[in-house]
Amino acid sequence: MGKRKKYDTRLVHSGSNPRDQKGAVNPPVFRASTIIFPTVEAMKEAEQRKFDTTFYGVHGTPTTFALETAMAEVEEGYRAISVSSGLAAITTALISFLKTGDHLLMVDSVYAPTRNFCDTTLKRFGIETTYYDPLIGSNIENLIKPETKVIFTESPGSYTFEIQDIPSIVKAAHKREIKVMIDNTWSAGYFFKPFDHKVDISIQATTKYQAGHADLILGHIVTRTKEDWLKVKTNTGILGQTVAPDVCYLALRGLRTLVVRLEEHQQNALTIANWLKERPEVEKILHPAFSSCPGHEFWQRDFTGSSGLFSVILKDVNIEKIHNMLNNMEYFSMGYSWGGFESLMVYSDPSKIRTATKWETSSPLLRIHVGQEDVRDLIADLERGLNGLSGKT
Amino acid sequence: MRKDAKQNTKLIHGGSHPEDQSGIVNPPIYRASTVDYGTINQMELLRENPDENFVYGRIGTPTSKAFEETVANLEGAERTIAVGSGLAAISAAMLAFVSNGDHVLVCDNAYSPTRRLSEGFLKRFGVETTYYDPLVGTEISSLFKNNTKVIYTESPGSHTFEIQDIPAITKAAHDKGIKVVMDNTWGAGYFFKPFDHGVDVSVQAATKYYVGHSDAMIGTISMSGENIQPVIESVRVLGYNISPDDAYLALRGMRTLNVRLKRHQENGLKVAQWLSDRPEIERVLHPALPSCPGHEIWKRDFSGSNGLFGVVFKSLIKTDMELFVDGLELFSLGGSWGGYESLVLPTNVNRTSTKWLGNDKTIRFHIGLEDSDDLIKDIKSGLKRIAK
Repeated sequence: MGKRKKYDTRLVHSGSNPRDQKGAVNPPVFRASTIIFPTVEAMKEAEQRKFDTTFYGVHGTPTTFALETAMAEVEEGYRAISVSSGLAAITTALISFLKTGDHLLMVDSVYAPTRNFCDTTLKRFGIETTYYDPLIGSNIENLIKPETKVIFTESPGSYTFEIQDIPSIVKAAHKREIKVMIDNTWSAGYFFKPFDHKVDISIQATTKYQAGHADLILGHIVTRTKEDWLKVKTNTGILGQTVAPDVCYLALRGLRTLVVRLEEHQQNALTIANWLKERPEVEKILHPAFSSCPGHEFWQRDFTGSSGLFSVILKDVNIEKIHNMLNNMEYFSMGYSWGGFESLMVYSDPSKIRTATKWETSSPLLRIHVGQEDVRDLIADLERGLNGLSGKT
Repeated sequence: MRKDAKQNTKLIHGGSHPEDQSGIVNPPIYRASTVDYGTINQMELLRENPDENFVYGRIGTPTSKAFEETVANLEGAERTIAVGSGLAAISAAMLAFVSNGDHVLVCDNAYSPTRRLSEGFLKRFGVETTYYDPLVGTEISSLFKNNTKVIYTESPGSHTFEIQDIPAITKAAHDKGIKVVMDNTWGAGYFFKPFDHGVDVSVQAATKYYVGHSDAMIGTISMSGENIQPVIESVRVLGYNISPDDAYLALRGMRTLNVRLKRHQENGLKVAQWLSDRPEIERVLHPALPSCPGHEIWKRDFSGSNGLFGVVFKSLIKTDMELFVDGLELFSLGGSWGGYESLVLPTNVNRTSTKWLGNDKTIRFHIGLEDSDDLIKDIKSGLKRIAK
């Protein structure tokens, strides 16, 4: 409890340097390309420290540094690197540790654009990807080849919600000096601490809970060690990746309320998932805090809470009826991404995006992001929708 | 806007759709990740063409699209896509056309981060780079291999200012099905029209003249026809995108590109000509002056010049270089260029296939929008400081 309290305090204060910014609580939005130096000597000196000081806009400004400091604290890692989207964070992290001839182990429940990157770009450059069962645990050892350089995890998967046994995977990987990366977006860096489990690289689609308002696109890569940080930072620089100061300002602004927002998302989502579980139209709840969710025991062991995103598998029902339900929801908007203040719902067929494991059920899956509305309104909205499905009025 | 609109009209009206935004001249700043589709039918309709419609923040907002449309109009491309920096534009454009086992030709005077992309990145993924003499012209075909996929050009080079024979290079390339990607930042899409000369993909550090105020990092990639899809795919797969605020600032910058460039050009020429008459100076590397390598090609293919050029001193010892640069009052010391302000930077380039003897005695100037008499006075007192 003491540790948690301390952590929440850090979320409110990290990256804040009022004394360096004329007393203002928040950092100014620095818009910069050129950085000006007083002398040739000062310029050379700054180049030596170009990742730690203002040297050129592409490498960052005090606005972006403030957010990176705070993001490293959220994840409790060594240091953070900002890039222009969650997907860019994933592709940049992978590119930094792979080269032609290498082998990558990728979780089968991964975010579809990550899979697309492996199957197109990485393949084109001679990097082989093997997809593995998210519930594989220590058996991942059997899939490791001499060329395996990275194991990529995402826990839970953002549609199918399998929770992975990260400590077992890390243990197997580190025996062979393989890097373990995690897409830690679901936990918002708050409910799961990858570096406590010796994960090497943690990735956040900052777009989701840290930004929290569905109003920007941003990604972060946080590393456990200085060495890995330098490697990713160098590659980020080579590719010319950079982020806008306005977006960083908004993300930092979002971070200050992360804890209170997550609490509300968590409570509302648990209330709704419990309510849904009792409905006759529902076959299964895929929410990590529920025993029906694959890997629930790892969630219990390794996580400290749950966010607002989960899925529900409905009993077999006519697809037209589902479309009709989605089209007529009052508060659950239809759209991608998640983590904003508002509720969302999309229909998905996971069988199309799996290759190593089979998605057993043909029953429809709805992915729900529960926002910060009054949960009674949300339940009433779902009730109207489900009644329509089962023909009740 | 009519199809036959002139360049300066395009700069004022391109990407402008007041009819879609309550009559307001400029686009709003759309901050977006999720887009609410309303109905499944509407979602499917919008997602059929994600590049034209507004489907997800990462794929672009009406704000970024307005900027992209203006750049496409100016460069004469069917499509422009904006990314986070000039270098990101280069990396995405290159990755669109190369695979493991391919070969690329990169001009020896390329922007140094482009070289780093080849050495530190493409090499690791099995793509070989050969650097070529920027003045190679049609002879470039002797460097072709069976697996050459891309020629990367930058004309003029942003430190050494060689102007390349782009029509000759694109002709040789297209005979072999090789793509030509050009860094057109110096021409600013204004003084050089890459697609009239056969270039396949034009990249720009929009950070420079488009933005024009040293306050945003943006890159653009412009292309037409069959080159559109691979580039868009590359940008999407990598997850690159730009913020709406930066898109707004860049579009705002483009509205004054014409008037700014006019003054950069006028001031740049005045200062360059003054310098070329000075006894301390060996050579001025300004594309509009005969002392610049490839000047005759500039005369043939370009319609003007901007504020960026280099100056080679007859001799310049380190302490004199520092005395000259550090003491300048109006020229700030810093990288990048294209903003409203004057800049100075000692030249330090790396070449591997051609000789460049100018490091240590060459200085790059960016001439801003100040009064040119004040700028000349500032340089004059710098020269006085180092006079023996």
